[in-house]
Amino acid sequence: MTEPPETPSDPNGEPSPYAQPSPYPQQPYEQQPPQYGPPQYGPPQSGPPYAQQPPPYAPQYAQQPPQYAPQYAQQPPQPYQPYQAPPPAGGWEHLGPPMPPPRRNRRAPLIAAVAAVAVIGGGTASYVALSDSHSSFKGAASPEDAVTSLVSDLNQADLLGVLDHLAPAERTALLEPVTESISQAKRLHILKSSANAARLPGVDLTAKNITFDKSKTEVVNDHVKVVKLTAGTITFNADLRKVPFTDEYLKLAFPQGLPSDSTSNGTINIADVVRDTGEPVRISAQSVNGKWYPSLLYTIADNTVYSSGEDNPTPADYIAPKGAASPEDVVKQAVAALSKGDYTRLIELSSPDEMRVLHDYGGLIVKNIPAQSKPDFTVKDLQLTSRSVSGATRVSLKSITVDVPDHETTVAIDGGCLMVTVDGDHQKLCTIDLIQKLNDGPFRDKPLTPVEIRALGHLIEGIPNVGVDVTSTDGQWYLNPARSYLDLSNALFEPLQDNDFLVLLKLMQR
Amino acid sequence: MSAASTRIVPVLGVAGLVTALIGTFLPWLRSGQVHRNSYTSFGLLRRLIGFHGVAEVLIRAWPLLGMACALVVLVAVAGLLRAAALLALLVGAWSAAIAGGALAHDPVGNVRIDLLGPIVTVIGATTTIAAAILTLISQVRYQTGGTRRDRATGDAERSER
Repeated sequence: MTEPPETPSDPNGEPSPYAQPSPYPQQPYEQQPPQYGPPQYGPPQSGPPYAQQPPPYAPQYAQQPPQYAPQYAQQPPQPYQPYQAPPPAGGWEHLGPPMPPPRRNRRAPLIAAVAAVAVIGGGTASYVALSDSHSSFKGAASPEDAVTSLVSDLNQADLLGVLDHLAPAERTALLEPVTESISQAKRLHILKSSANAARLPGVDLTAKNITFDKSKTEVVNDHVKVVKLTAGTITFNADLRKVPFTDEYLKLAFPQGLPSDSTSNGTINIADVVRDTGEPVRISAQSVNGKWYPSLLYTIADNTVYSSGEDNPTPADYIAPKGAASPEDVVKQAVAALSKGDYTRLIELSSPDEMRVLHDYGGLIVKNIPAQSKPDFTVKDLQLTSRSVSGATRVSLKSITVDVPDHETTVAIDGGCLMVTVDGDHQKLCTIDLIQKLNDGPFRDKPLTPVEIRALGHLIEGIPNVGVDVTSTDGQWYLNPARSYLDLSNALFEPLQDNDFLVLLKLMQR
Repeated sequence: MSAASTRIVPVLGVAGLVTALIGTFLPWLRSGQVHRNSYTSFGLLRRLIGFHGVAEVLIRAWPLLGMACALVVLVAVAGLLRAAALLALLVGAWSAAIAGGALAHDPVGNVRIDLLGPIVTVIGATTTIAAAILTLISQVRYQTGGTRRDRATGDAERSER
């Protein structure tokens, strides 16, 4: 790399010590002004390309005094005529001794080859790398293939592969909140920094010799099929000691050390289960954009329906998604539907991506809700606020007025205070009021320390953050119940800082 | 630097880049009995858990490492040695940071870091960084020497006049 380049140009502006003066004249003779008196010898100052130059006799001028120069001096001046030497017989190349051929850059082909290899090699490497980085499980051609692929990962104990097999919407809905929870736990010194969602710390799952009966695959509808496992073993090991809790957390949560039953392991023999129940183990696969994925939510729904003795849902059970115009609107409509016991509308408002299973099993769900579970309240007024969170919009409460028989209650959130009005009786509850009540009550003997007050204040700040996660599909807004549920603790603990969680944990043990 | 060492340094640099690149295709992550190279590992982990901040940027651009290595070689053969050395320094630091970061992770459960890929990449990255630094030093020395020579030549010409 330290050798000078063969090419004289240096775009860096670094002077090249190897630059050679050109041996060729820099201008064609026809363009030079007439030279009276002694002619100029030596190389000219600048020059056009070789193509415009006469043959290489110029250096010879520099070596031999020209014979015609004195004649100019002796003869009377003639009108200007550019000098044009007559070409000698046989062409210019015969004038004077033969010139060595212009030096050719012998390394140019080598450089070109190196450059070509670098471009082809680097390009190929990047192409393969990009393909690899996107080489997720992109669905299988059939439900059996999808489950086979999942089983293959289970057989190899490949937990990352298993997680990657989930249907895309399920993967997003489940993993994003869990990932956020783990980040939060690390931030609050509950988990060590090495913890992450993909590693499922403390839980090892391995499957061996899993087989299924292809002939018994059950069709639920055009995009859901149930594959039946008939044999094989699934071994699980759960060990709380392997969860990467921090030492501070373990000392507070388990002051006597981890309980003896903190480990659990076992083996499920599918053949035994089939023999005991008389039915194979059912795993549902979902079709998304023509590809099949094993589905956790459909598997749960199918097994629930199957164990309750119900038949698979029919097309009549399908409840089509029907969203709302804005994030706040979808929550308002959901609250209104809930207050009226309109569960069909609630299912309509559920996300068709995350909760497609609710739409497919909608009829069965509504049919099985007991009639007396109809709520008995009316929402008179509902004010909401929304903000963007990772992959969704979270709608939180500003104020709500609820009518229950003979009573009207309004709850409004005002900064760090809660304004509660019950039948006209107004009460303002702020953090300081709560602390005062705690110090006057349960902590009378040992009042809260400033650190504890601060941690408690942060926790109360988190209450208004709690809300419902909604997402937009085809321009309409829908509820995301699974995601909202998994995000509850994330929202509540968001304002906690540093050791706040551990301080609160210690406070609870007083 | 001697003439021999000036020939060795570029070879060392290219060897470092190639080694680092090969290392990225070797196993980096083992989950159960499945081994994954750096690209499939990062692709999977990005989908499953995501990365944040600087790590996200470095990992998102990771598949372009091959192109970055090619660019270093192209800039070098174009004669822009200082630029090539600086670029090689960046590529070396980038790959060393990613591989070093991977090696720093503890195994959890049956998911653990495969040492082969990250170690080969770290070796390649370190070699590249060393070659880049040697090239930069030689460039600075060369330029300093040239300036002195130029000054001496100028003084001689002035005294002749």
